[in-house]
Amino acid sequence: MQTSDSSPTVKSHPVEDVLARLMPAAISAQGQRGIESMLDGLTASCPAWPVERARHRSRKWIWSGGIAASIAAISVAAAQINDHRYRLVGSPTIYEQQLGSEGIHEDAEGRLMEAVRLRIVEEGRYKDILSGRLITLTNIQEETIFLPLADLSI
Amino acid sequence: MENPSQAWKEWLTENGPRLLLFARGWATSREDAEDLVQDAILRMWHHQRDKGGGPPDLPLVFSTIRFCGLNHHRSESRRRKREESVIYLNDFQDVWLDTVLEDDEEAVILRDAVQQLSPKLRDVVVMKVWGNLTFQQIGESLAISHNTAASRYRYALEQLAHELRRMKETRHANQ
Repeated sequence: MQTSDSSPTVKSHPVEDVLARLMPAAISAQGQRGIESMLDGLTASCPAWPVERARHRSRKWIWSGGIAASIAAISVAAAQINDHRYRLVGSPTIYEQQLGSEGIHEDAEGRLMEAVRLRIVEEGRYKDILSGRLITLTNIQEETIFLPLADLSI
Repeated sequence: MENPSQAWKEWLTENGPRLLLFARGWATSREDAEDLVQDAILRMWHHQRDKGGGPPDLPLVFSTIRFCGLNHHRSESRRRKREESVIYLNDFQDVWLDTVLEDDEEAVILRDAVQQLSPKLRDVVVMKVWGNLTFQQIGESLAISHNTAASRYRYALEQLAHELRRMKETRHANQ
C-alpha cells in the first residue's frame, strides 16, 4: 500500500535519505513456505471458496493465538491429503484440559486478561473415498491463551 | 473467482519483509518474528473472510502483529523456542534491515541504531519509513493521536541523527 502523508508539520529530514538506503530483510525461505502452506490449507478448507464449499459445508475453524506452527503442520498435511483420494469430513479443535492459570496480565488496551494453560488437540478427519476408511491426523500441544477476565468459560 | 491463496501470496511477497521488520520489534529472534507474522496473517485471513476474502490493509496487520506480540511474549512455548534459537542465530549475521548499497557506512550505522530505538519510537519509524503509512494510519494502528505519532517520528529521527554523528566521529577519530 502506498500512502502519502498530508501532514504539513513534518519536514524532510536528512536521516530519512539514509533510511531510504535500507530495506527490510526478507522472510526466510522456511518461514515463507510455512505461511504459504498455511494459506493453501486455509483456502482448501475455506467455506467461502466455491469449489470447496460443497465438500466442506459444515466446517468451522476455531483458532486461538499462538498455534500458528501447529496450524501450518495440519494445513500442510491437509493440503497434501486433499489433492488425492481423501475427503475432509471434519477438523475440530478441542480445548481438552485446563492445566492451570499463569496469572493476570494487561493487554494493549488495558484490559485484564488471565493467562490459562490448555492442552489443545487439533484434528483433521479424512475419508478414503476408495476404501471408506476414516483417517484422523492429530496434533496435541500445550498452549497459553489469554482470556478476558469477564469470559473464562471455555 | 481467483484463488484467494494466490492473491494472499502475492500480497505476502510484497509486504512480508516490512511485516517481518515490524514483528522483529516484538520478538527476540527472527524465528519468533516470523511466527508472529504467520499468526497475524492467520487472524487476518479469518477477519477478511467476511469482507470478500482479499488481503487486508497494512495498518490493521501492523496492529494485529503488535497484539500477537503482546501475547507471544508471555507464552512459555515461545520462550522455549527462543532459547533453542540461540545457536541458530549465532550461525549468521542476523539483521533486520539490508543495505541497498555496498559499503554504506551511514546506512549500517542507522541500521543498528533503528534496532536500538525504544519500541514506541521504532514502531512509528518502521511503519512510516518502510510501511509507507500516514501518521493518521499509524495513530490508528497504535491507538495514539496522529500528532503523537508525528512527534515520536520526529524525536526518533533526531535520535538517529545524533547516533549517526556520534558513531561517525568515533570511527573517524579511531582512524
